[in-house]
Amino acid sequence: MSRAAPVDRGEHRARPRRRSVALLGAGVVVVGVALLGVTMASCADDAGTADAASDRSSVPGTVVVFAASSLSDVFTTIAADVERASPGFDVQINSGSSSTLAQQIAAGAPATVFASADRAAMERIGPAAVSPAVFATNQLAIAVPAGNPAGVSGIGAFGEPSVRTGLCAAAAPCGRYARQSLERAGITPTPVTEEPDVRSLLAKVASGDLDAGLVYATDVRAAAGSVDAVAVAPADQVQAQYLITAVGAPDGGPSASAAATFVDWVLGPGQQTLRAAGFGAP
Amino acid sequence: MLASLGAAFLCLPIVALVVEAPWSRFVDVLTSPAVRAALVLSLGTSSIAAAFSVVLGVPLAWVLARADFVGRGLLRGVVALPIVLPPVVGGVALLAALGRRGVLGGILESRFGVVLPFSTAGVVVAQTFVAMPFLVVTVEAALRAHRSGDEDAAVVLGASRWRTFREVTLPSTAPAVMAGVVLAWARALGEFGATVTFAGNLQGRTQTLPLAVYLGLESDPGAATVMSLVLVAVSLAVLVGLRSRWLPELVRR
Repeated sequence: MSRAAPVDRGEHRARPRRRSVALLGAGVVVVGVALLGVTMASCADDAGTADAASDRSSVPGTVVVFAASSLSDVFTTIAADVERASPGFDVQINSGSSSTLAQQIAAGAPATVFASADRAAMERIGPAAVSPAVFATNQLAIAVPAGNPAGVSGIGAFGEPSVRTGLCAAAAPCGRYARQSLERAGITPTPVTEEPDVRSLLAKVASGDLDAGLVYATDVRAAAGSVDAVAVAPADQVQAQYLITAVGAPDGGPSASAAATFVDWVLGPGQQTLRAAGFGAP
Repeated sequence: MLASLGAAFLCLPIVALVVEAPWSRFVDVLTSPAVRAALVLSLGTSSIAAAFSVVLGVPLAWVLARADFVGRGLLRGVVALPIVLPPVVGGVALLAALGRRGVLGGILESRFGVVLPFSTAGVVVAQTFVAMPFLVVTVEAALRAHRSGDEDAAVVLGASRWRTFREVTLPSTAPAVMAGVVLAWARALGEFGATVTFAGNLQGRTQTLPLAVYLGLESDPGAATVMSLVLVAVSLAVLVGLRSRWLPELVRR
């Protein structure tokens, strides 16, 4: 009896081990197939655009735009306009903090157009910026929850610890501009949070969790209804400069012409849309 | 061969991290004020979150495993929800509950003057929310596997419920509780989405190490790599601790 038992236990142990190895192998196969699929899909994309190069008359263009988060609404409108004007054109927009996007582009993200909220983020991508051009300007505004519950009257509130204020993180363009403005006003800020990008800051003001946030004037317009604006005094105001560029080698493939089309649109017919959203002239 | 492909897939990013780290700056980065603040804050808040997870989670696990009541299955599902919920969704939910205009947050502020969003306490709340379910699930599984015969015997022999819990149940589930604590602590340490959404970001007060890594990528990628390695080292220590000390005991039961 005791001699039979070790044999039984051995077999029982062997079966689960084989089963778990099979499961591990199956899992690795799934992962491997997924990886292969992704690689092949991107190869297919390249092959597709290479075909398009030899057939410029149809010009189906895909543009991948990395845009500062304060541009998300207005660029969505511009993208729709471009797609309507040129059938076959496809614009994909990825918005976020300009400095985060610049870091992603520098690490090889497949953007073909980059629109940043300041020069520093544009310089971060180095020679990949084909021909940066200023296409719009912006100013700062103090966003407060609808009804201004804390009674914020000016930028001085950002130096009062009793007021729950928020800024953008120092690495983000809106954070840099905000700190410039506060320096001009001679205020040492006491924020309760430094948000990674301006839209998350705006969201926390709109929800009432913050009493005030230093954002762009266009953001307040975009969130009208849930957010009110308190003006920043002209003496403390800073001018934000937005730059746009095609990304990649200057002579690079068919995606370059699609990117150039989009950039030209932003610098041309798109200016009206930008003005309507509250952006200033370049 | 396939297994080695899978292993390579998992190992490569970690190895790359070690290779790419700016080792010449390693000590400078580790001792810089921002990194020190983030490290101290992270270690402190995750430890408190783990403590809360034990105090609230062990009784909860006991109730789920031993007590029989209507809606137990539903409660079990809700308790396990934060495990599968995307962390940022957890943060949004916490704001809805405890934000200034939230269900409970308004009362907390007006009646008690307590504002949790954008505070260190808020970090602990967010971390406990995502970490406690790990402990509850681990301990509940151990309690259910463990035969209640010993407990019944103790009660029959005259021990009170509290004494039975203390001297019979706890010692036999101690390995599961320890494993649960370690899991919860590690989960709390690595939490990002819920903390940045609910508690925001401020150096020294709410900027945890994962958040410092995310923001560091924009301004100083080398420092971000160093901080990432610290987190990898902590995670490895957790795994080694679990494997060598508590996992064999769990399996034996």
